[in-house]
Amino acid sequence: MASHRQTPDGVGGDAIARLLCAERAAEEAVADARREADGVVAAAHARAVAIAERTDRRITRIHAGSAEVTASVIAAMRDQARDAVSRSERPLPPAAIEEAADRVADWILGAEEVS
Amino acid sequence: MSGPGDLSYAQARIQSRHGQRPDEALWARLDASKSLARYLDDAAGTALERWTRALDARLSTRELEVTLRRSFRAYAADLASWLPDRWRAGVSWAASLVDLPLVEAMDARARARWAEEDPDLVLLADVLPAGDGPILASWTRRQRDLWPRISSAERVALAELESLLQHHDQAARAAAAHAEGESWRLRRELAVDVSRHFRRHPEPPSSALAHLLLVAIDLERLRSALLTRALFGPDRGEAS
Repeated sequence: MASHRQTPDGVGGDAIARLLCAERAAEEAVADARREADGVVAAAHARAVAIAERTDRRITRIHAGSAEVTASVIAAMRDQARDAVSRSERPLPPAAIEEAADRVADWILGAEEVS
Repeated sequence: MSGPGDLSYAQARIQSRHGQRPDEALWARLDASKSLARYLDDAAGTALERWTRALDARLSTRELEVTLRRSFRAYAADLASWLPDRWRAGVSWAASLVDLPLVEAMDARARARWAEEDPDLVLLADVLPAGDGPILASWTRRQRDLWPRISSAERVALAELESLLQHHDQAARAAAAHAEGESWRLRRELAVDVSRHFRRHPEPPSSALAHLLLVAIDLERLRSALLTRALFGPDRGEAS
């Protein structure tokens, strides 16, 4: 079912049902990824949670944008996450800061890929 | 003077609706409309407008689907209202036939989300629990329970229709296990067989069920066209 040009005969009800269920599963995967990211970021620092929440709102806008916009937003959010975590009241090792920034970026990318 | 609830009235209305089904020329013409928006525009004023008038190219695939499922249920309820009381429950139940693939594929863990979107779908899943054999067999048993006392001629006609459905279901499942691209060939064969049945048994309730089955096949063809355009069509939401 790559495109209607490649499947001139169309798709049957069974395939439509599988498609709708796959969409539903993708939504669940996004929700799971968000919950997981919340946990990692919150464990790193409370300010990073605030960033995650802002990211959550921005993801909605990213969906409407182009791939180039998405890439630039991800880069900006990653920088913001790194900056927020590095200014933690509890000093964190550089590796933990990078990991938190990576998880924010992965989270956005993951949401992009499955939605 | 006949009216709703009268057999001759019902028969005339069903025959009239049968004559309004889309023909191959319309399907071929619409196939040239590559975007969802254009397809919906071009369907206006045709035999498919009954289904497409509530749709919009900005709807998501699931919104398109739930709207069409509701439209089909309303269509079946309308048709059932023409029939004598004793046939109405059985014919209304037939509307759920189009929901069977989704009920079968539905992940129970996502049940609450489906219920928010389409409560009727989850109610159907409750009535036809998984693991109770082929879902079509459960569905057929339930429908038999809804028929009142029927004449031997009515029994023969309904049994013939059931047999066509069962045979198609078995063939479709076998084809799905071994090859792709067979579903529409099998659907077309089913439509030919059911059309023949409709001509041979023009009286309700068999004719009402046969008509609903043919409309469900038409609707499935429309759903396929709309969903492939919604997901893969050029410039989604723009005419082309």
